[in-house]
Amino acid sequence: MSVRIVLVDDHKIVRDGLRSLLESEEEIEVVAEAEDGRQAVETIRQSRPDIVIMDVGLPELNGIDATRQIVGVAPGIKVIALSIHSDTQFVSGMFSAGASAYLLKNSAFEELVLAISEVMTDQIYLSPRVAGVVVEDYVQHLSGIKSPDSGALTEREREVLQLLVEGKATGQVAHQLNVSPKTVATHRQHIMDKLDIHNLPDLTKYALREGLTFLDE
Amino acid sequence: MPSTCAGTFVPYRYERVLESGKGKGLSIRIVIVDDHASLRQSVCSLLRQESDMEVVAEAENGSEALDRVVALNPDVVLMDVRMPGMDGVEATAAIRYSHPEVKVIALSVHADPSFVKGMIDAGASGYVLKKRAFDELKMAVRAVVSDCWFMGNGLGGIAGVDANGELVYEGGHLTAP
Repeated sequence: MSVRIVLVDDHKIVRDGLRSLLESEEEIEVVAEAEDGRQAVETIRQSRPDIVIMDVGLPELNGIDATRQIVGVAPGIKVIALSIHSDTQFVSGMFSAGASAYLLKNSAFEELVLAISEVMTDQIYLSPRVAGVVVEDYVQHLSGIKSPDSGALTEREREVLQLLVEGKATGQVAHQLNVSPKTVATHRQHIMDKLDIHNLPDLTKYALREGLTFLDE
Repeated sequence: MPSTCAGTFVPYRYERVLESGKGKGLSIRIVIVDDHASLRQSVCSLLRQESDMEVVAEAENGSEALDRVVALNPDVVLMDVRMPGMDGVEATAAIRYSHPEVKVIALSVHADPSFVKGMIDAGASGYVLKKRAFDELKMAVRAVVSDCWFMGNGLGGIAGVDANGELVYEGGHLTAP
């Protein structure tokens, strides 16, 4: 039986290429694609794949928060992160959210095939290219140098923050999340209070640092 | 629609590709330059399905791209813009200086006009965004080997440059790349 895969990347040419490569493999079927995190969550609700290959820097809803939602609605699903980012907040963020593998886009396709076979046997796959980052992070936790995620924001607050720093107005955020503008305003106030950050430029810096949103690279 | 030779010079005609020998069993020879192996392999896999195109080499930065061009004299180089080491702008300028017959198409995530202008100034004749489908890239390859500009969708209507080297938008008068 084929392994059913959903591809999530905001670059169509990347999805086209990955689909072509994956479909040349035996027993792999690409069943759907999505171009942002929010669309990914919706697509996965409908198509129920075995594996999601997930970019991390995505518009609307980033790969970390999308993964958290996907694993929530479809337990047992395997998420493989495929990213250009090797920084600790992205790697540990994806694993904390429930991903089963993390690879860099400068890895060869053969490594992606290997990761697919590993996660299908319930193994975790960590690319050697990011293993150092994970170990360093782990050692820092053990030695108490670094406290666990200080981000006290709730999942919904993270979503609101990403949309706000991506330039959406309160009304647009409300529409997108299907809540009232007043609710969005309340979330925004809570975010600012919790982070003690009270202007958009500094919120944007925070969101970039925490991997909630990304600059094009 | 993307602009394919919308200006005052030769219109885009596939016959020109045939006249030049490309397509008559002689494929359009392509080098792919990107620092991400997965992107190179993905694009290579797609190009391999085109009967008139052949990927002759890959390179992961501008410096490697130059080496490949010197060694292989390809028809087209697909060039990422931001790469570690020698970037796409520098590499394009160097390639166009040493091998003016080699066409360069930028393949980038950046739609900002400053990036587009940088690549055109360096000598690129095409610019395609990675967020667009592969079909657009195929069209770009065929257009540039026919001595045409190809500026893909999502670039704010930039169509090429005029005789003074100024950016020209759709409907303006272009000169050949």
